[in-house]
Amino acid sequence: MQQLDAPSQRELTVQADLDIAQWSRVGSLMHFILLLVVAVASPYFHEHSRVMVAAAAAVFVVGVARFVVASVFAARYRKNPALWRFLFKAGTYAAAAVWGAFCCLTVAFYGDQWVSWFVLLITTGIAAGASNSLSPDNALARRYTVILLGPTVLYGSIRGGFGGYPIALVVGLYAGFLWIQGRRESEFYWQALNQRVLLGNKAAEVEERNAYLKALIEGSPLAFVMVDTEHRVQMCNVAFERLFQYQANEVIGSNINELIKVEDIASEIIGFQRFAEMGNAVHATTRRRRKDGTQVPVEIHVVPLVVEDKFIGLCALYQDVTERKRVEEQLQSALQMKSDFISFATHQLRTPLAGIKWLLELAAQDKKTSEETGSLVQDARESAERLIRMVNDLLDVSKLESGKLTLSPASTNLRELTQTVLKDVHSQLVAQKHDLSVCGGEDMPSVWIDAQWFRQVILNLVSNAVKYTPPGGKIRVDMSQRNSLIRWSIRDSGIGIPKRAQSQLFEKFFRADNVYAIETEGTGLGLYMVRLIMKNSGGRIWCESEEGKGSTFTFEIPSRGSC
Amino acid sequence: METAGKRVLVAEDDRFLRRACEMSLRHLGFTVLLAKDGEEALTMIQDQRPDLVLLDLLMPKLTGLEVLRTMKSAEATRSIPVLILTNSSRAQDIEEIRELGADGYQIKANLSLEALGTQIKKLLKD
Repeated sequence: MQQLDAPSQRELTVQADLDIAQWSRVGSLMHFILLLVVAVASPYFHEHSRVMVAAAAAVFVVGVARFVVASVFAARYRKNPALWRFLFKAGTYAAAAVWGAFCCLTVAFYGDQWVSWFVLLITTGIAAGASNSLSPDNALARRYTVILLGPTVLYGSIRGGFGGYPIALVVGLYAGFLWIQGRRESEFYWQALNQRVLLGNKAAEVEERNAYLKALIEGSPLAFVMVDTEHRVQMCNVAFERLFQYQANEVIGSNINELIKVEDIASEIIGFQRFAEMGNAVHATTRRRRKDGTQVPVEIHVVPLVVEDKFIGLCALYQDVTERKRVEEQLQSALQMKSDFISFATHQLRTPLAGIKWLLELAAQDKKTSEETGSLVQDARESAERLIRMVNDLLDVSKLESGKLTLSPASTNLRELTQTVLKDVHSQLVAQKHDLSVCGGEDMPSVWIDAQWFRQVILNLVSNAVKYTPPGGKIRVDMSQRNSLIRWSIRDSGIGIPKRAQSQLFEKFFRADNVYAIETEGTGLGLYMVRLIMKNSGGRIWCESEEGKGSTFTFEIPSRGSC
Repeated sequence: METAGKRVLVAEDDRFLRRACEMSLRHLGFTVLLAKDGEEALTMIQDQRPDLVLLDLLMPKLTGLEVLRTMKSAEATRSIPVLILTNSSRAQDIEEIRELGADGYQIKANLSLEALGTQIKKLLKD
């Protein structure tokens, strides 16, 4: 917790002003009551009724004015402190002056008779009371004393003799006592005020923080529960009540593990506890039981509560993951359906395709057909072959995507594999008059790969190079090894790939715009398949190309397990 | 030709494929027996003991795998070479074919009749 600053002077002054006004409310009316006491208890009213009525009127007006000021002071003060402080002070001085004058007049009329002493007694009482209630403003209290008692002291001194000096002496000494006492009271007041404001601020701060924390916990969409070291619930939030269908008062004090237990909770709890006691947070996706016995899949975060190095319990957050689980399952089954559909469709397609293929093969063997029919049959055969290749590619892609495919890696010589593929495409190379060279890889160790799928990778890359390079082009295959990585690349002097197409090159069914000038029959599956095979075997593939100049495709695979 | 006159059973439910096989094998000089479902195939294997069986997997009444299992478990028919012709490339099917002791396995769509003939001759020679 941050240290609280000492209260500011302004803050203290405001509080002192409010205090002084508050305490003066009763005092302002007291003057009038005391005047009534004098009127009733002394012969004053009969002998000097005019003075008495005048004093009463003055005390009443000033008293009511002061009472009103003091009453509305707290509400109005903040808007205009200077005005209200002035009004308050003016009222206070006026009250002192009225009563001081009355006291002085009484002494003048009655001399050393008992009425004088009676009024003096009451006046000193008023002075004492004011000294206390005005203690927040020592200067004001002192001036009040002087105005209240001053005229009487002055009068006594001037009159002199037995009727004057004793009164001046007694009242003067009393004023002196109040002068000193008042300062002490004021000091005491300010000290207390300082403490009071400081504590008040601290309490307000603590309250504010508590409210903030409570709002945070209550407002959290995650179910929150705090338990002690024995796993007894200390507090929980609304989301917790909602998720587990309990009311807070039903769970406070109960063992959390009993409340929302599932069969295999015991082992989980032991694990959580061990982690938590080491000061670690725990995250888990599991299930918990609701009040009605149903189970809810939840993600739990358990955080140990450590206060001043002492483990005092745990705080757990629960997120309902029902919806997420459902979506995941749906997605899984949709993917499964898609992959099942593709493989079913391709199997079904293959049978009539095989029929077309075989029957056309037989037709081609028939020597009696005309040359033209023969050529038509030949075209039909090629067309069927293309369709079969596409179906095969689709099937391969669906297998690779579904993850059902298990690669069967074996020790494979990448250079030999490359040579085999090149032999297969030899006729195309010759037809296109390409200049092909193979560099490196002679002393490369065998790699642990699925030869069948890598044959597909190399075939796709080589076919692309052959296809997208104008006749008489240069194609070069490079193989090298660096550390534990085997690198294979093929560079051609072909049409290249436009910049904008390069980022989508390995996406499913993607074909760059400039290939249509060469041929239109590609499926856009070749490079996608290459990428999938790479992904399945822990390798990566990339392409560097400049349109019109050529392309280089490179793949890199780990040689781990090489022999 | 030493393979001439050998009897080859073609077990295939698709009539076009059956016809193509029949014609092609006849051109090569084989005697061709035809079965259009699993039951017929098994009966013919047991009754006529062909020299070689071309077996489809997905057939009505009895699947190719069942036919294969039955003939491989009977002393009399165990030694007849079997070439599986299918369009399924499911890993578990391939595994089972191998375990049951078939002599070869081909995807029909990826096989030419010429290659089929070559493979049959090779199997009969062994």
